[in-house]
Amino acid sequence: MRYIFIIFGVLVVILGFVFMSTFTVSERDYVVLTQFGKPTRTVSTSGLYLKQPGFLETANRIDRRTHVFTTQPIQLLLGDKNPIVLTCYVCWRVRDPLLFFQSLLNAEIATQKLGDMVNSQLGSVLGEFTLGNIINTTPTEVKISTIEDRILKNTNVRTKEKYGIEVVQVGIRRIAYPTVVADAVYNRMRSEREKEAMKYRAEGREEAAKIEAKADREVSEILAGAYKKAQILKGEGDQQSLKIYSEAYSKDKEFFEFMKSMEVYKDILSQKSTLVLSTDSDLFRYLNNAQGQRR
Amino acid sequence: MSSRENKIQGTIRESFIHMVSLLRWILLCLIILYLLSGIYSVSSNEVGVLQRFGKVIDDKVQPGIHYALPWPIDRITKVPIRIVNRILIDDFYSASEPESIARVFSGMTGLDSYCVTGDNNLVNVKCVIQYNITNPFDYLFRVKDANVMLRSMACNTIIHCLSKMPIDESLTRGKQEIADYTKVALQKRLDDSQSGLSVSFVELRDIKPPDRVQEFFSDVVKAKIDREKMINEAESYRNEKIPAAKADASRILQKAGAYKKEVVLRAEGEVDRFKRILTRVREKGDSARNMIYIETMKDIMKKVGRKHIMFRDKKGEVPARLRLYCPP
Repeated sequence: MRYIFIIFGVLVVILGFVFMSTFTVSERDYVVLTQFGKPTRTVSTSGLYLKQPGFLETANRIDRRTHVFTTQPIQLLLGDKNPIVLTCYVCWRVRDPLLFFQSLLNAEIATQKLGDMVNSQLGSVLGEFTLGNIINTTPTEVKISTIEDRILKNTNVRTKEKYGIEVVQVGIRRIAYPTVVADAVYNRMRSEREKEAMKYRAEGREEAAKIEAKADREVSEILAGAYKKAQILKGEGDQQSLKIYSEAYSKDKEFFEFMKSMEVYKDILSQKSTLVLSTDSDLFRYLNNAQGQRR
Repeated sequence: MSSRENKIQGTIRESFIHMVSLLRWILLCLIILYLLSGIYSVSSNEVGVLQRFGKVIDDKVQPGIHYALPWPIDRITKVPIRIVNRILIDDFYSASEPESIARVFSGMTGLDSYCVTGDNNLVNVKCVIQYNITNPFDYLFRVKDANVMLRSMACNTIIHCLSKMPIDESLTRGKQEIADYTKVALQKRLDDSQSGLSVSFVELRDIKPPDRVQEFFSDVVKAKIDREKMINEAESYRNEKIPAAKADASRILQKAGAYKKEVVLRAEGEVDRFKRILTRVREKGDSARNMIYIETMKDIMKKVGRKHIMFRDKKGEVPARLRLYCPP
């Protein structure tokens, strides 16, 4: 009976000892072992390991995954004195766990340090570029990738040696202008659009006027052409009628004139006409006497 | 020692033995439960990653019921690889929506959120990225905050793309190009940083000029429509005027033709009549002619309103002065 307790007790002690003198390294971590703060060794492959029990040796886990963070927005001057506000993202991971553990201890401090470094790099690198290197409609002039690579390289030179950190990627996450510059850009956009709208409307008016003028010209051409043809037709008619008249005319000139005159009198005299006639005239000569003789 | 004390000791011993045997059962049950705790299941849209003492021994445990050694030896993490995740990138959109990154940025700096185009114009962009986990190992053990990483890199690729593109292109036919570029470049960045993520679809939800200048951009669109309208109106003016002119022209021609016909026919008629009268006059002499004259005069005199007939003396002088006055 008592043995059971003894075995149980021994088992607990052994298990406790095993727990205290082993540690596991996850796939996502590095481990730095320290003895009272002094690093003894680092483990970078995952698995189960032995260590000195308990407080004699401490296992410090260091996250080996790639971290990402966003830097504080920073206002800088470009090489052509244009101010710009930039925000970057930084991906970094621990390369040398021991160095990292000794210099920075944890990810929060690393983030702060890296943020400051990247921002100071931004300031110095961007001084060599102009706004045209950041935005440009000619794709070859845009040097954002070059800028990012430069910052990455420059930061890495310092972090690898000093902190055991490898910066994997640095990229611009946001480009903004200070309020004054942004207002100027807004105003320019506005005036550009106003100009464009005006241009379209002017084009419309011009095009419409052209079409209308052309239509008017065609109309007058059509009418003039018709007038011409009409005059020719009338002329032909007149010509033919004259020919017919002149044929008759040649038969008896005097009688033709008499007949024509008779018709014309009928036509030209109307209700409103006033005739002053003498009794000498052939028509009224019988008003004098039956013989029609003059008085 | 009294027998009474012996009796008490006996009962204590009995109950003790009883308790121990109960404890033994409990212990056995606990051990069995402990061993059974290693049973786990992976559902159909997941894949399991099995670690033994931290070391990955299988990163592709297929769906189904499996057994692993219980804690603290084995550890299983399930990764939903067949689920498509969506992330809304609204970093460059207006700050009006609460809890958007644009709002945070605006609160931090007081600046608007936008993206700058190649010709130095500002636009608001919003896009949705669909992605899934293709490499559970990398996703679990190589990247912290994969979502933050994806968002940062997506913003970066959009900046890269728009910084080369004029605003007019980005607002119209460039949309697909932006989405395509973002997909390819973003995937490359994700691969470079061993994120284990794969972009399946990039959809450009909205791209528009900032609110402050929006109305001027819409006015340009309106101006284009106005232009078309003016041209259309002019064309309808033309379409109305030309047929009308053609109609007028044909009317003029018809009239002229009619005139020609009329003049000729009239001449022919008159000449015919003239010839007949002439023949008559030649046959009958002056009497016929005088008849024509008198008949004509009769017609005229009937028609004319005012007639003054004067007698003259033999010398041929008019006896009185006549004042001709016509009342209006």
